[in-house]
Parts: sequence; structure tokens; C-alpha cells
Amino acid sequence: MKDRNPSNPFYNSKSWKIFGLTKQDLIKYFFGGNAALAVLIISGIIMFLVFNATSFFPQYQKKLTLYRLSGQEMTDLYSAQYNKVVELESLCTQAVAYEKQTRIGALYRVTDIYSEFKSKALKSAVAERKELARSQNSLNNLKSKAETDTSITPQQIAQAEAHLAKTQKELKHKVNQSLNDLDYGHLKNKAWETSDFYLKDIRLAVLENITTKNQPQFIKNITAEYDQKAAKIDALHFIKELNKAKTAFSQPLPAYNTFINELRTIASTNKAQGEKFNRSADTIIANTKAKELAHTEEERNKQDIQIQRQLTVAPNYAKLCEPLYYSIADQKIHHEALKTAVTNGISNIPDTSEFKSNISRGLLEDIAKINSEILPFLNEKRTQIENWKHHKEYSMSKTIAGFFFGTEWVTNSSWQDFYGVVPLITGSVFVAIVAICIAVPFSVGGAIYVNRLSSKAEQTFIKPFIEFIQAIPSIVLAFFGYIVLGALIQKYSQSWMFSWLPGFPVEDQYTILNAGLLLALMAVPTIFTLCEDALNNVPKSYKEASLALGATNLQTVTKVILPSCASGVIAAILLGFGRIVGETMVVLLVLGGRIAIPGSWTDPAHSMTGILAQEIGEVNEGSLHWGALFMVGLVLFSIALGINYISQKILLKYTR
Amino acid sequence: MSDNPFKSKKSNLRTKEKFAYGGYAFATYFIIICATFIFGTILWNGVPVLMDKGLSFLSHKPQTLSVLELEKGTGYEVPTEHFDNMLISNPNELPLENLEEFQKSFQLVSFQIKNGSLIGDDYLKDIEKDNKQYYVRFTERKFPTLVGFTVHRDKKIRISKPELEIIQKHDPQLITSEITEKIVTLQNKKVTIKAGEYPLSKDAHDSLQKTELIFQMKQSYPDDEPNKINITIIPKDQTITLPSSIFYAAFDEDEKGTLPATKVESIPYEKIFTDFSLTKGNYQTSSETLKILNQYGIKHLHNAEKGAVVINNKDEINITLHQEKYDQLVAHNPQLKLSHIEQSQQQIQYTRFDIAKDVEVQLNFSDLLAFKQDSKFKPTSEKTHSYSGGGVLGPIIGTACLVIICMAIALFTGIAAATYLNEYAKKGGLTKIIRLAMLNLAGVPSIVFGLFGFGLFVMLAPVFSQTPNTGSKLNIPIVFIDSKPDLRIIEAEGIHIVDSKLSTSESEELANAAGAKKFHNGWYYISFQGWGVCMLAGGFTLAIMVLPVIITSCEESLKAVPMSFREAAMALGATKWQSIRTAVLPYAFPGILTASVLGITRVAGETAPIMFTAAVAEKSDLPWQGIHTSGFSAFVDFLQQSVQALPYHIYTVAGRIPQSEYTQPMQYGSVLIFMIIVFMLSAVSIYLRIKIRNKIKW
Repeated sequence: MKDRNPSNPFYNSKSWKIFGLTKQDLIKYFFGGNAALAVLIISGIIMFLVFNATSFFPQYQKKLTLYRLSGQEMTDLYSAQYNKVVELESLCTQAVAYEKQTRIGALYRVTDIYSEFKSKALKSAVAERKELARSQNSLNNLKSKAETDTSITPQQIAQAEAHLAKTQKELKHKVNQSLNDLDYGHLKNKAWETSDFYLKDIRLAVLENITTKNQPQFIKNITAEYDQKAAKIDALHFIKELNKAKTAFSQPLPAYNTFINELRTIASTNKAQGEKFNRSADTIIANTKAKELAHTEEERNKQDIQIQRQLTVAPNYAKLCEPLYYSIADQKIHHEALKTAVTNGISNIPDTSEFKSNISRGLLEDIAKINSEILPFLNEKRTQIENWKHHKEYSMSKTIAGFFFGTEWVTNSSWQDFYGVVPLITGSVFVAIVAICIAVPFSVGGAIYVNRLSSKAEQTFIKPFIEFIQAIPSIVLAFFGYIVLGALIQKYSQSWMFSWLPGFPVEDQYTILNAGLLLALMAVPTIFTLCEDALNNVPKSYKEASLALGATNLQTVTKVILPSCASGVIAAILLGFGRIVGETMVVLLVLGGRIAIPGSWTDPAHSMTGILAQEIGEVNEGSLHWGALFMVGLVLFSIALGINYISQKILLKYTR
Repeated sequence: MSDNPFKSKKSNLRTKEKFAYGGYAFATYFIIICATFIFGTILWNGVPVLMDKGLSFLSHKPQTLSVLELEKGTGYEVPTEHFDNMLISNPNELPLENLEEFQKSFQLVSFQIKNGSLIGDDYLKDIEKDNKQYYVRFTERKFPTLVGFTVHRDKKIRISKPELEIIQKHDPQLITSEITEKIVTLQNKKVTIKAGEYPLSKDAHDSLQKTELIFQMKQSYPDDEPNKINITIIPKDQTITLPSSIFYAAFDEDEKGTLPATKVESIPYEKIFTDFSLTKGNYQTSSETLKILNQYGIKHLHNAEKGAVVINNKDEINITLHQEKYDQLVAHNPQLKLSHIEQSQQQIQYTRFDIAKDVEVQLNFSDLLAFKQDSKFKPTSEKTHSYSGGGVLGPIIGTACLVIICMAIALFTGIAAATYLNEYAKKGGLTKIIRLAMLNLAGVPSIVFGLFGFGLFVMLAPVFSQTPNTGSKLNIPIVFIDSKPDLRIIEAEGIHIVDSKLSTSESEELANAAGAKKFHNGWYYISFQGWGVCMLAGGFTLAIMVLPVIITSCEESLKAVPMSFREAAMALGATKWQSIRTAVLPYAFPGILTASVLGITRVAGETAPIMFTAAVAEKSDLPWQGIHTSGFSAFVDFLQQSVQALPYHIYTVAGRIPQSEYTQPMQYGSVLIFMIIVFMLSAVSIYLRIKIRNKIKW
């Protein structure tokens, strides 16, 4: 505080002070305050997420308690048994269908292609068709009039006929023209198997159909041929066996379904009653307040009636659940029927070796997988049913586990909402891993090339180019994936060249693979730049020493330089991973939006960021769903911070 | 060969080297090829769109595209402006023939409305629609007044006796025709019902709602199961009187899910109806009469319930209307006082054309409206494709607004923070925490910023308001100003006016009970109700997101200024702030500029943070249109509106609307424009950086 001494010649006594702070101090604190904003914001985000998410677990516990009290939980146990067998049945059906598709080949889609081409050709010739109809009409009118009216000359009729012929010709020409432009590239579903052998005939058939309105002979032949082939395939012994298995699986299902549906109706009625009762207390309070504030006697009476109309008798769950308890004994018959059906079905499942279709083989493998576990599964559910009690408490720990380890994310359901985050986390992480696996070889390889191997001219071109890639907004990439890449992958994955890859051919347009490719491109600049920095920071002496020892340029790079900056490369990869996990638009548009744990990298999935973007705008503030979404936000935030923290730690270590 | 120990090994190594080298080169160029493929696809599809639409793509707002099928026909007449638009909207050539331009003239009337005039609500809105500069913030209504209406066809009307009496009292001359009376006997039912539990259907339940019967439903009726029968509890024996219609809905024994009545008693009563007719022509009546006639199909644009608006405009503004509209206005509003009435003629360039062949025509919504004026224009089918017509003007301006707001905030705090960190801060606890926070902030996913911005700015941030929301988290009264908001605003926003003696919580409760969203009790409030989805919220969210980037790069450019500059300034006797202001910041400016361009690039491309804080898919006005306040409150209103934004627009046209061949040009066009903007920005930042690196060498 020396400079505040008036004897100091530099001390400016004129300067004003507020609370003992000079102008300089104020400026400093103002700047400091702005810097502290970063701390405020990050703690604000954390507090905010936590604050909004805290209400979630108690609310969710209440919901799940009602789920148990009403007996919905029990009927879901029944449904689990049912669904498992249904899954077996549908797998069989699909396997048969795909096998047929493969064996029949391009013929399988000919009629579909024919109708798609037809609708396109019809659309392009709308004007001509209308003109034709008009001239046809006017000719008919003329002819019918000519019978009574003598003033119409044969010349007029001839003229009209000539016009008709002309329009017919025009229509034919137009259709022909548009058909010549049409080829298999215009099909909506690029995964269809096509053959050039049929293309010409399909075009001719469309032309024939539009101009003459007859069913073309070609299509008749194709249908006959198809039926013949399909019948032949149906007669194959393994297809027969598979169909038999399917019938066996489906045999007990309808009866069980009606049995379950009756119980589900009871359970959902119970739930509705519980919800109504839980709500009524709040409604009574609101109505009482409205009554106090009411001005007229009439209004007061109205509110009074409303108050008296609220349900005040607590539901007697023990009595409400009685039918469910009674059903346990009846269910035994269904349980046994299911078991015999499954054993019968399994014994009929044919060997995979004779199937030609890859997809069918995969489906049969799925069936085999289910087969090995289905009987224990059915028995387990049965014991769970026998031990089920509606009044057992739904504990907090189970609720929390239900969120973090739950495999179902179901919202806005009339039955029961579940908020299990596992499918979202697996989706997010799976797609990020796929993206990183694709991005790392290219970006690290590229960084090595640019930093160590390339010429000066290449460097000045490649580096800004990669910066440009970084500048591509994510929505543009998402758009590209949504409109272009999805169809491309779907089309080219059908080729035999890729059939050895797991999960190929790709059935959907929007899959983990599609999103992964785009996210990889987004990660490339991040990883590339950081890797290059790390390579740059390796002391020159390392390189010189290595070269002096007789190592080649490449040996130096891979054996000396790369290991010495490995931590930097790992940090770069982690940061890239962090960026991808938090990416929203690409996964929102391109990931497919199926909320289920993905089984393969060519399945559609959903992600944490995607679900936030999709659902937060539609929920009410403070509702259970709102809390769940903020919980997801919190999980996402923690994952991103964790990755960030680890990579910063690694970076710090290596810069020392 | 095996004698030579070097030969085989060496050649092996060389091929290996070559392969590895090729691999690395492939990795690099593959990235470039991929990116080029993406750019190429977008260019390939986007350039034709921009060529087709030309500048109109930039100068039009996105709007709905209608695809019409037109039969061949002659003599279509539309304004040339819209005809030209049609040519632009249709990429294929249309079979048009006999084009002919000509002038069409319209009779216009221009006039001024005197203050104190009375006018019906929708007549006023009609005037405002045609005259954008005219906007009346009325504060008063009058009821009853004299109103006018037109009966276009002779009309028979049946009303009840008491209603007729009201009409005859107010307008004895209105009914000139013969009045016939008809007596109808109706019945009320007196029903007794015993306590117990009964099944009840939804229809019966709904009709019972209006009565005084006390019953408790065990479940509510789900929307997707209208036929469900639920159990109801009748807590005690009751006797109620109800109209027979309700009786048959709720107590009919033949129907399922109705209540069993133990005792039914009929109470007959008589109701008298009267018939009369109105011949076609103009009428003037009191608004009370209109209120009754309103229920019986008399068409007019008055507000029959609330009465007429009293005009109180400060400025004298000329209004122009078409002759027919003017005639209607004058006939229907007898208490309207006009001045400065002038007749004029308007010449509009029209184009007449024939269509030679049946054809599919694409028209933007605004053009379609103009085409529909032509009575010959009768499309055989009409399909609409949202956001597929017009251009991208709204989204571009919206994005620009967001970027400006965001950068203003982010640069201000960012530069200040960087200055502190580089110039003032000593190595210590606080600085360490700040740096840690910044590092972590940089790693937060953008959607989390969106979530944060949504929760904080949209739902919680404080506003100053005379009319706070009832759902606000906290309302703090500051000062009492006894000025009511305009009646127009009160009506439009459903503001509940409460007595100023009531406390805040009482006012909130009252407004809630009345079902109003806002209340007013004369006090000015700080209300924690959030800013709503608006530019300001979006700008703040983006600013927070981009802050770490700005701080880091500003700090870097401050660091690049040599220490000797500061030392020299200090040695000359400058204070710390003077030295920063004169010797540091000016030299760091180019670096800061680069940082801000970098920030703009990042902000302009983000979608996730603005998705639920600022952006909307559909907005017909540009941000500065449709604001009726003035001064500072106009600025606040400007900031407090939602906008269209380019990235969100792309998301909407690509992912949220049904795909069709008509939306595709819009998609590629918007994406290409967006890419061009973003790339120009990033090219500028790269160029600036290179220039700085070359130029400034201390």
C-alpha cells in the first residue's frame, strides 16, 4: 500500500475511489469477473442438470410402485413368455421368406419393379392420358349423337377418330420416352435384387399395360414362373421342416394371447384407478382454492360438486389383484402347452447347411441361440409369476438400477413408461467406437504422412483442406448421410464383395455404420491436428539418432517417433471420441431411431444426444419424462467430462 | 542367390517401405477424396437449383409449395409479378401460349379514420392486413353500439320468444315480415338414484358432467378407447332434475353403461318459438340484436360478444382499400367517422395466357393466392409440400441475428476474460480453477448446452414485466405504476386484471382459477418466467458454448504481443489499464479478429443448441416485421422472438417433413448456400491467420 502514500510523487490524488477501490482495481476485477464466468457456467450447468434430475428417482419409484400394485408387472411376465415364442415364430417366417428371395433371385422383384415403373410412367404422362380420355369421350359422344342427330357428318366422326389415334400415338411416345429414362437406379429400395435380363421386358410390359390396359403376357408368365419356383422351394425338405416348426411354435399362441389380454385389461383398469386416486388429492386442493376465490354462489356450488366428485376411496389393491392371483393356476396349462410347442418346434428346425441365403442362415443361428435358452427362460418366468406379490415394496436401489441398467426406453405409452438408459448408452458408445475404428487409421496415418513423409507442396494443400473438413457443419454431414449415403450403403452392400463382412448385406438405410462413417469424418480433423502436433513435438535429435543408426525413414517413424509420442496420439484419439459421443445432428437423423440394444454394426439404434434432441421439446417441465431426459443429459455430461479429463491428464503427462 | 547376404533382404525391405509409404499416402488422400465426394455431391445437385431459381432463392422466404394439376384452358389472367414467379418455380418448361401483357385498373379509396370512431374487430384486422403501417392499440370497447350487416339471401330464422322480445325492444323496425309463433312442450325429468357402484359409459358420463349429480369415477376414460365402460361410485341416494335429453343419454335402460333410476317423474314445461324472415339487403341494428342473430347464421365481422373497438390512433395515417371492401366497411360500421376520402385508380400489370396441354404446375403459396383471384383458375388436384417453395431469406437472416447476438456477448466476455488471464492473473488457485473450468467447458457436448440454455434462459431467466406469467418460478414486485396495458394486448394474451390491493400470490391464484396465463395488478415485476424460445436465449446459449474457443484464441493472440511493449508503456508512466489499452490490445486485434471469425464459423453451423432455445420451423415474418411497440420495448420485443435458422431449416426440410421430389431442390439449395457461407467464413479465418503470421513479426 506504499503507492497510496501522498508523499509518493506518482500517486495521483485526484483519482476517485469506490469502496476503497481505484479505477485500476475496478478494471482488474471487472476482467477477473468475466474470467470467473467460465467457472460459474460450468458449475451452473452441473447444478442445473442435477437439480432437474433429482426429482426423477422419487417420481419414478412411485410410478413403478403403482406398476407393481396394479398387477401390470405380473402380466408383463406372462407377456415375456408369449413374446419369446412369437419371436421364434417370426424368425422362422422370415427365414423362409429370405430363402425364397435368394433362391428365386431377380425374378422375385420383377412384379414389384413393374408396378413401380408403371406408377412412374403413368405420372409422367398425366397430360397425355387425360387428353386421350377427353378425345375418347368426345368421339363416343359424337357417335351416340350421330344415331339421332343427322346433322353430324361422317367427316366429323372421322376427324375425331383421327384425333383419338393421334393422342394414342402421343401417349405411347411419351410413355416410351419416360420408360427409356427409367432404370433400376430409380427404384426406391436400392436393396432389391435386379437383373438386366428383365429390364427390357418390364419396360415393354408397362408400355403394353398403359396403352392397351390389358394385363401383359410377360407379367402373367412371370407370376406363373414365380409360383412354380415358390412351390418347388416349399417342397424342399428343409423348408418343409422349417414351416412345420413354425406351425408348432404358433399352435398355443392364440389361446395364450386371449388369456393374457384379459388379465392385461384388468391390470390396466387397476392402474387407471390408482392414478385417478393419486391425482384426486391435488384436484381437491385446486378446486377448494377456486371455490374460495369464486365470486358467485353458482360458481361455488359448481366447485363444490367437483370436489365431491373426486375419488376419495383408496383402491383396495389386494382385492383388485385377486383375478391375477387366480390366474396363476390356470396359467399352468398354457405354460405346459408352450413348453411342448417349443420342444416340438425345436426338433423340426433344419440344419443351416442347405440354406443359400446368408440372412436366413443368420436367422437360423438366432433361432438356435434362443432355443438353447428358451426352456429355462419359460421356467424362470413361471417361478417369478408364482412368487409375485403385489404389495412387495419397490425399493429405491431397484429404481436406480432400473434406470442405469434398464434395457427399455418406452415413453408416452398407455401401458407403462420405462426409462432404462442402456439402449441409449450402448447406441451412443457403439457408434462412437465404430467411428473411431474407421477414423483412427486414416487420421493417424494421414498425420504421419503429412508430418514426415510428404513434400512441402502437399503439406500446404492438405492441412488447410483438413481444416475445411473441420468447418463442415454437422447438419450438412447429417443431411448427406440421410439423403445420399444411406441409399449408397444399402445398394452396394448387396454386392458379393462385401458378403464376408458381419452384418452385411445392410437392410436399412439408417444404421450405426452409416452414422459411424460420417462421425469418422468429423473425428478425422480433430485427431489429425492433435496427432500432427504431437509428432511435431518430438525432438529432432530422435530422428537424427535413428537415421544415424541406419534405420530407414519409415522405420524411424514407426519404431522411434510414433512410440515416443504415443501418449499424445492416445489423447488425440480420446478427444476425438469425446467429440463424437457428444455429436447430435448426425445421430438424430442417420442412426435410425430404433430404441433397442444394437446387435450388429449394421443395425439401427438410438443415442443419448438423439433422444434429448428429439424429446425435450415435447415434454412438460417437471414431469417424470423431463426428469428422465435431464438424467440422460447428466449421464452424457459425465461421460464427456470423464473422457475430457482422462485425455487432458494424458496430454499433460506427455508435454512434461 | 543365397550366397549374397544382402540382396534378398534389401529388396524385401524396399518393397515393404514402398507399401507402407503407399499406405500412408492412401490414408491421407482417402480423407480428401471422401470430403471431395461429399462437396461434389452437394455441388452437383445444388448448383442447378441455384441456377434455376437465381437470386430469388436468396430473396424469398421459405413457404409452402403447392403442386397443381391444371387442365388445358384459355384466358388465365394473373398479375405479371406472380406470373414471373410461376416461371421461376417451375424447372420444366410450361406449355404456355398466347402470352399477352395488359393493364388492369382497380378503384381504390384512401381515407383516414377519426379518433373515437367505432369499428368491428375483424374489419379492423382486414384494414391492418392491407395496410401494414396501420396498427391500432385500442384501449376501449363499446357495447352496445350500432352495427351493420348484410343478408345476401332471403333468410328464415327461428328463435325463442324471449330472444325475440330482446330484438323487438332494441330494434323495433328490424323485423318487417310476419311473425309466427309455435309452442313446443318439453319435459324435465326428476330422477332418484340409489347409492352404489354402477358401470358407466363415456357418453353417459359426459352428459352427466353438466348436472348436479355427485358421482365418483374410479378410472378416467382413455382417449384411445371411447367405448370403454368404467365403474362409478354414487356415494349417497340423490334426487336431481335434468332435461330429458340428458336423461335419455344417462338413464336409458336399453343402453349399456347407463345408470338405473329408481324413480322417474316427468315435469313438462312449454317453450315458445317464433319464426320470421329477413329479406336480402343491408341492415343496421344494435349489437345486442346481433348477438342473438349471430347464433342463427348471420354473417358479419363484428365481435358480437364484446362489442366494437374505439379507435384511438395518435398519428393520422392514410388507409387504402379496394372499392368493394370500402363499401362493405362503411355499410357495416355506421359509427365510423372518416376524413380525407379520396378516390384513385391503381394500374397493375397483368399477363394473360393459355395453357396448351394438361400440366402440373408448382406454385408458391403467395402466388397461389394471387392465382386464385382468377375465377377461371380451377386446378383438378392440389397437393402441398411444406417449406418447399420460395427460398432461404428468413433462415439466413435468423442465423445472422443469432450470430450477431452471440458474438456480441461472447467477444465482450471473452476478450475481458482473456485479458485478465494473460495480463492480470497471477499463478494461483483462482486462475487454476478458471483454466480447469474452461478446459472442461470445451468438452461439453453441444446438446448439453442446449439443455442448459433451454432450462435456464427459456424457462427460468428473469424478465421485467407488468404482466407476469402465473406459471413463473418467482414473481418479485418492484414498483407500482398504475398504467394498464392496452386492451388489445389484454385480450390477445389473455391477461387477467386483478385489483391492485391483492398480494402477488393472491393475484396468481385468481388468474390461475380464471384459466389465464398472465395477470396484471398494477405492479411492475421481476418475473422468473424465462425468455421463451427466442433469439436472446439462443444467442446466450451459443455464446456460452463458444466462450472457451474465444477465450483460448484471444489469450493466444495477447500472448503473442511481446512483453517489451508492456514494459515500455509502463516505463513511460502509463497505468496498467493504459498500457493494456494502448500497447497490448491494438496489437492483439488481428488475432482477436481471427478468433471471432473462427467463433462465427462454429456458431453458424451449430444446430443442437438452438433447436429448443431459438429456432422455429415456420415463421412468416422477418424478425423486424410485425413489431408494434416503439423505443426500447421494440428492441426487447425484437430480441424476444423466435427465428428461423439455416441449420435448423435444413434439419426441417431434410428430416422432419415427408420427402418428395419437390422438397429436394430446397434441401440441396439450402445446404449449398449454407456450405458456401460457412466455407467463406473459414477461408477468411485461414487467410487472416496466414496473413498475420507473415506480416506481424516483432
